[in-house]
Amino acid sequence: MSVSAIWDLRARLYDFCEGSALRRGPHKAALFKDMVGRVLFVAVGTGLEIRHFPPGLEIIGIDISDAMLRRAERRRRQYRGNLQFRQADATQLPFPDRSFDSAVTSCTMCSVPDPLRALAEIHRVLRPGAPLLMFEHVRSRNALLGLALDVMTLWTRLGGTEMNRDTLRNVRASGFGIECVDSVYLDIILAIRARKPH
Amino acid sequence: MLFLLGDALFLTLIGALSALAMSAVDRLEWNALLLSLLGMALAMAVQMALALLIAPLLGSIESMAPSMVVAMAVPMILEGLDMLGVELVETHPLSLGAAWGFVAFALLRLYGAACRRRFRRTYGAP
Repeated sequence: MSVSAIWDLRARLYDFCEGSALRRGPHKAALFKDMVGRVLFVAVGTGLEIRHFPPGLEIIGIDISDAMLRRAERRRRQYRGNLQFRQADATQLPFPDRSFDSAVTSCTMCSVPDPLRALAEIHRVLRPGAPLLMFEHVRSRNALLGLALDVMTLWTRLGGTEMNRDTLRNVRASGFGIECVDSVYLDIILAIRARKPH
Repeated sequence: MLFLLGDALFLTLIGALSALAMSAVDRLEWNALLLSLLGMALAMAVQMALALLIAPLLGSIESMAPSMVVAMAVPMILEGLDMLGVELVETHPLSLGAAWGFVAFALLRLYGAACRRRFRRTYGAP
């Protein structure tokens, strides 16, 4: 099954399964307030994050799933700014080099089949010095929690989600400088502020 | 604060239910390793179902990952005590499981604080 087909299928239950807005919402809002200029949001999903976007920005939201974007349309219209959607693959962004002032991801790097390639693409389309804001879950360094996340990955992988990725290492390996990591939940859910070097 | 209370209650409940699952399985009087695995499987089935139910309130990963550790550990602890010859009467496994669930919550709080310190030390303050 293709990646887009998996996410088209998951679109129906996505809002219920991702129903952690109560706990994570304030952390997302705090992270997203650092969005600046022309913003690329990678994997916008059903638009659950839109309520946390600061108003008045120009944001391009992409997602590989057309079904997700259709579900996000109502939330897109509610945004007080210029928010546009485009169906696109995070590993093959249809934008020219250095065309965005900031980029945002939210539970994206667990779901793209090749996170290093997706990060390389984000790096390519960002202007030098631009921030990359990431709300991501990663594998814990704690042996027991790490084991639990490995076990969970046995079945979440079937739905296209990996619970045990080392996203901090991937971000560094892609040429970004990590400026700040805020623990949202232990060392599993992180708010990461990185930047493309000048 | 509300989430802290929710986490504490949830892990305590999972600990107690895992002990209950292990007690139920223990009546089979099979091989100790087999009983541990069966108890763990049953405890994890209950834990996953409850974690999915509570996810909209406490968060999906926030409820699933730590409770899975509790559901894995409690049956092993009880079976380990049994193998050491510690006789647990009917109600003791339940309170032991609940206590372990709460201890796991407290240890996670300490681990969370250590993680925040590590991130601040490595990357600077948010």
